[in-house]
Amino acid sequence: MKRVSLMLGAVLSLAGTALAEKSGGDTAGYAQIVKPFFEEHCVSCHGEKKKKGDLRVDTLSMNFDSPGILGHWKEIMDRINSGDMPPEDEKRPKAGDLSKVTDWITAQLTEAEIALQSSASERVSFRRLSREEYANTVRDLLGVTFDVMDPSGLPDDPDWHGFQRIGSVLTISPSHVEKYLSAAETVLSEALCLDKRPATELVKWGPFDIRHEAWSKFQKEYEARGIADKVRVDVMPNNGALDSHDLVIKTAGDYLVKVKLSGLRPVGGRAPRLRLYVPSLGRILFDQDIEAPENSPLTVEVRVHLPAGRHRVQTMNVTPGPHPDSARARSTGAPRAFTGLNARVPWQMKLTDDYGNVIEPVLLVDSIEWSGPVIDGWPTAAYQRIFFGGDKVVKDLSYAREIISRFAERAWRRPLQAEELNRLVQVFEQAQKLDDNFEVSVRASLLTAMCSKDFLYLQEGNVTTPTQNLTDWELASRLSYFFWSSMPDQQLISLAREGRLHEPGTLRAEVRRMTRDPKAATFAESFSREWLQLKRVGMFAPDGKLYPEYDDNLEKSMIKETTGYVQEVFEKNLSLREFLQSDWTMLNERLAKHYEIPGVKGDRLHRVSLSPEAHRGGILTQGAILSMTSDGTRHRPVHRGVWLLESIIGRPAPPPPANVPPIEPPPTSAPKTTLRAKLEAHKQDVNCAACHLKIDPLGIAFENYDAIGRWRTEEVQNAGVGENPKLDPSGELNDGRKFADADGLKKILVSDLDKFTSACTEKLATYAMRRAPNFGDRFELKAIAEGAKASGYSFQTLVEELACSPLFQKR
Amino acid sequence: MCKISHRVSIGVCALVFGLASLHAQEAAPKVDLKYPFRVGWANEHLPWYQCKTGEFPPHHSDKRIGGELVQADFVHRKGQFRVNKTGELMDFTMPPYGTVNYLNTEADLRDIPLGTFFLFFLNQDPDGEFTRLATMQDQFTMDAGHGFSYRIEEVKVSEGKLVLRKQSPKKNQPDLGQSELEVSAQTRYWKGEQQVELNDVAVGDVVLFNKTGAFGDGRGRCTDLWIGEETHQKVSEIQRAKHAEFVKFRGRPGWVDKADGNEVTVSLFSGEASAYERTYLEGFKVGMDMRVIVANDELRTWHVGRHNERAKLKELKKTAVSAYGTSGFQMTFTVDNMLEGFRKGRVVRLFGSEWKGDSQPYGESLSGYGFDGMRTPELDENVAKEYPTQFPFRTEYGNRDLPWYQLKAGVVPPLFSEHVAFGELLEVDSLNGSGKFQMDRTGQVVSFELTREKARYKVCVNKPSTHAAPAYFEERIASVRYLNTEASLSDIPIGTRCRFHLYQDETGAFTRASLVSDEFSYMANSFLSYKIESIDLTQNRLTVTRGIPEVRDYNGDLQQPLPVGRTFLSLKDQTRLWKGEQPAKAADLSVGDMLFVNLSGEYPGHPSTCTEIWIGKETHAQITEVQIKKNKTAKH
Repeated sequence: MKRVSLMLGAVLSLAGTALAEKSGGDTAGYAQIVKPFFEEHCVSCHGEKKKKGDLRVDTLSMNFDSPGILGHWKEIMDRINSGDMPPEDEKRPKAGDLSKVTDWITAQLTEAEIALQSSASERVSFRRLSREEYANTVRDLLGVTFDVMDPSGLPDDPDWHGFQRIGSVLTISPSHVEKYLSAAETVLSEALCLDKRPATELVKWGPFDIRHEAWSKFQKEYEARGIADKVRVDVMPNNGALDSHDLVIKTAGDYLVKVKLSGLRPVGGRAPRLRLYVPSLGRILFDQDIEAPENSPLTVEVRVHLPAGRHRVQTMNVTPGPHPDSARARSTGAPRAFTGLNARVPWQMKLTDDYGNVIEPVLLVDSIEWSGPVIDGWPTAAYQRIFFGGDKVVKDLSYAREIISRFAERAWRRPLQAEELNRLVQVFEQAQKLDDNFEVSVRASLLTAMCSKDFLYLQEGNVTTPTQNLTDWELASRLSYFFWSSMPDQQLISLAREGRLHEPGTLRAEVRRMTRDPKAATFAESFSREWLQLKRVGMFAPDGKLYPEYDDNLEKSMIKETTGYVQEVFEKNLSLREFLQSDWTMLNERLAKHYEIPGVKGDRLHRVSLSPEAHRGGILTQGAILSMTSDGTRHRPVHRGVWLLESIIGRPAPPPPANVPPIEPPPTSAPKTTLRAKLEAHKQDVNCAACHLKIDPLGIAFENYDAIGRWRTEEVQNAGVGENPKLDPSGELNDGRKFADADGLKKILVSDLDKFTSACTEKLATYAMRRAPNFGDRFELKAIAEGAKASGYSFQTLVEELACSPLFQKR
Repeated sequence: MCKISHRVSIGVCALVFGLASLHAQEAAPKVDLKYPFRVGWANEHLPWYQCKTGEFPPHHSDKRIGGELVQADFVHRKGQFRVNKTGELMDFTMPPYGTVNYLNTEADLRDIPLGTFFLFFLNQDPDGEFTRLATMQDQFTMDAGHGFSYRIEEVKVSEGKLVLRKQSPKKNQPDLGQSELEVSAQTRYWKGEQQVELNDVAVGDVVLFNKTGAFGDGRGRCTDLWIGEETHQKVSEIQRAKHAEFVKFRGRPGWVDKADGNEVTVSLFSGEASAYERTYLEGFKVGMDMRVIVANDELRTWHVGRHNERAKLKELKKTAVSAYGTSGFQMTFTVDNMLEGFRKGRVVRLFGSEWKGDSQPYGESLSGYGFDGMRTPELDENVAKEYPTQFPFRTEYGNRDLPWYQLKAGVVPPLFSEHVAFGELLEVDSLNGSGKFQMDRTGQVVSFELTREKARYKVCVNKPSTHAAPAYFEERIASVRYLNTEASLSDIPIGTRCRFHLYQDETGAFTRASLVSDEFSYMANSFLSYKIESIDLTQNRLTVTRGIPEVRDYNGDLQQPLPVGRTFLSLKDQTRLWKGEQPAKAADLSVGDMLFVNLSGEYPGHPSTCTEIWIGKETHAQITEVQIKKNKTAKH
């Protein structure tokens, strides 16, 4: 005990002992909450008389601007949380008091962290484009797809509580610099295409090609028999990458892929799912359920962007199913190729029953065709836009200067200073001296512009005349990256140039125009992923033995449900209430099957009405949320509660103390018990109870949903003896309100809709401003939320109110 | 009656059928309402029973013909016999459930000495011919099965005859008539497991016997005589044990009655249902692990080691024994993977606790890897038979409802598109590439014309004795082959029986020959040869096995595969024999000699005989070389 005390003292002594005035955030409550606690439980050992561990808590600094001090307060909170302090032989604090103290410290830490994100103290703030934004910007700037997720793309972006666009988090590393240079070279090369017009090539793989020498040796014989055209590639489910073929791409660009095939769905089962996967790029080119009778194949098409090079393409059927050895899975190695379900090798997997009904979801591929690069016009649209003068123009320095100026203004999302332009033009001139031709020399300047910080970062502020408000140019970018995750379009640029964008009427009209633009789908998609932290879905892949039906398609369908749901609420301008409780959701066939909701077909999302028996509605009982807050083996009520506090209630729980032992499964000889019963132990430990009283009920409400979000009434346990225990989803919130189950909790949350609106507004503001709102933003946030309330809590209205608010125009 | 086995009841009925036939000649057509098809003694107004997939032919649904077994193809489970009296050569094929009854138990064709008389129980094939063998019974089985035996009343050594009195001790019938049985120098006498002499046969001995066929006015001669009831019991037991070992190594055959979910129900085959349980089901218990492997209609499995499927016995139940081939047992088991071959009517083989995953004898599996790889096109998986839907035309093995392949100018016809005919070459016109041959059996004279496109045929290009690598086949194209070389029609001596690959002409007649080849070429190309098992110059007859040369196993050791068939070869005075390049005589032949032969045609009253015999491996190589040189000289 003494050792711990000494350690704590040592840590805190480093912080200095001078009690400083708070320099930021709200320290109100210190005198009422923390000071009495310290006096009752700490000062006797860490006060003026005794300074165990060389610590005095009564003179502890509250300068939360200092990262060092932040660390010390965090350490104190951890010690209290973990029960290290006060020592065991001292009087135990009440759970309620502990909770208040940790809440207070958490609030200070959070506020301090947010203050660090704030750009208020910076003359110019730099917010790096996320890789998603980079790709979108390149697309709108040059009309070129850049595959940011490829190994040759850009590194993944770190997130802060799910948000992947927080300026202070999006740092840049040397590897970024190399990647940006390479990316710019790639996209400019493809966009301008300064070489001769690439020939469009058509590559067609027939069955004899796809199955290589295993089948090609039969080709002549089958041609002689007259059945070569009947040969098809039979792709069994769950058989990995048995069929792979090299695709040689001479010219990077968009390629049209056509696959002619049948997909046989077993009666009452799932359709086979075709996936074209390129391992070297880590990219799925095509992923779709296929349903077409054996004698009536269909042709599916997809346009994909491919870099030059040799790519191994795997043709897979990713539907779960038996996983026999490869010889049994497909017609090869046997002395024949597949020509029909009625001509199968008898020792291979059976595909139809004795009545001809399909029993395994199998794909029968006739051909895969690649044609491209797809050239929509020549010279390319980007070339024509950039070299705007056409063929007859005099290609001199002045023309080059104009080209570079126009391009850089769009790329940098603002007009250039003369000096900035000169520096870019100098690159052109250097290239000319090296005998590069005009276009190549211009390209060198454009490359420089695209590698500049002015392109890679959203810059706000002015070195010479510091201001808290955005310029119209900055506002244009904030709007476009908010709604579209991309650069401003020509109208925004024009309005910015005219200096009219910030005018309330103009701004509101622009917000409404942008909301209606198809690109606004990016907002719903991206915001929902970041707000709800959907990146975590699948992070702990469900155990294949416990959850064999969980597959990649289900995981994607879960995410699609949630993002599609947010989009539906946004597009239809529905109430925020729908996020908490509804009688509908967005389902595709795969997820509907998982939810045991009949009548939904196909991969596309459909708005589906829900009956109470479905036990769904709102985002809280969606598969993505429920599986994300599990650990791959079992559901985690604590994780669910923490997520709810953070994403829905907007009051993040304190971080867990270190070295918390996991909950052990029961001994095999012990009776089976629910996870909830084991969590009850938290209530007995005052230190745990402080937080868990707030967290656990929120998670326990969702006991009826297992680790992959399926409805259940009992908790299946492999260990232990006796019957599987019945589940009890009832609970009591910290404020005494009780609920019977998830529906009951939803009703309580709906009754607190104002609180949810505030939380949601904060999340939107974080997303829009690329920083978390701080204490100083609270009144404006409240006003925005009030505006939404007046409109019946409509989501789109809330978004519009935010975008038109003074807060939105603040740095 | 109800206490005896179904096989015995069949035999009794066979006798009844014989008697009934006699009566039928005198009386009005008889009707037997118990049978919805024609039977041997009644219902002439009804068609014969037509075989159905997945259905055992009911007892008495067959037509019975007595004759002598003269040829057996062990791997494809088919053979030939000569009909008593007429000597007509008849073909038979054993369906999956078809069995051989020999020495009052079940046997395989491999066990049967050629020249033994059998009663063949035959169902109709789709052409209406009686070729589908439900079962066949030797004299021993027919007698022992009915409880009959013979008491020696006199041994006429000088006349080569035994005087016998038929009896049925079980029925207390000591005198069922007297008869004489001819013996010969080739007759074998058995007491216990010992072979004895004629002199050891004594008056009063109780005997059972087998005999040859009886042709013309002749009577069948005794081939084997078993002396004493203990001997009769013993030989049956030995044969039963031998066959059980044979079956267990290859898996108990049966066909699928039902396949649903992961459950498969199989009816097991047997030619001796009364002994099936004790012989084959010992140790089989519900819940036990098993192995199951799919097989074709010839009971040949693909690769036992790689293509077997794990199974668990769920139910074992008895079923009625009122049809040929059924064991009276049906098994239901669960499998890990449902395979295409687990389909109603398809054949599987089951392994119990004795499963070792051994490779099957070389030549028996339908597919193999490395050492197991089939190098003989004849033994390799016949894709036209196994996958008829991959052939958009009729073949010799299926697709009867489709037209035959029609020749296309400039296109070499695909494998299996030909109609195969055999016959003796009558005349040739080498310049015009045409000739005539006399069709086997029917004697029909066919004029043929060689096609310009020639024919594909498969040849294994790596030698089995030197490679353990997978068999590598190449397709060759030829028009005429003689002595395993490309040849012209004039190279083939007139009177040689040839194999003709025929296609239809404009009138639909099979007159267009894409390939003409002699027996020598066919055998050599297939890595097959004959080996002398016994010589009977008194009848100018050789008993030969048909076999594959030695192969190397995975250890690199040479292994002699088991024979794949057995046949008689007949000699005549004109038969030319060759040893090296020198003529030889019949007396030069020895047991164990490897032979290639050419034959004459087979016609009623004129059985096929050898026209030429080449003795020994070296001779075969030499003769081919000589022919190649001859061809070169002719070209120059």
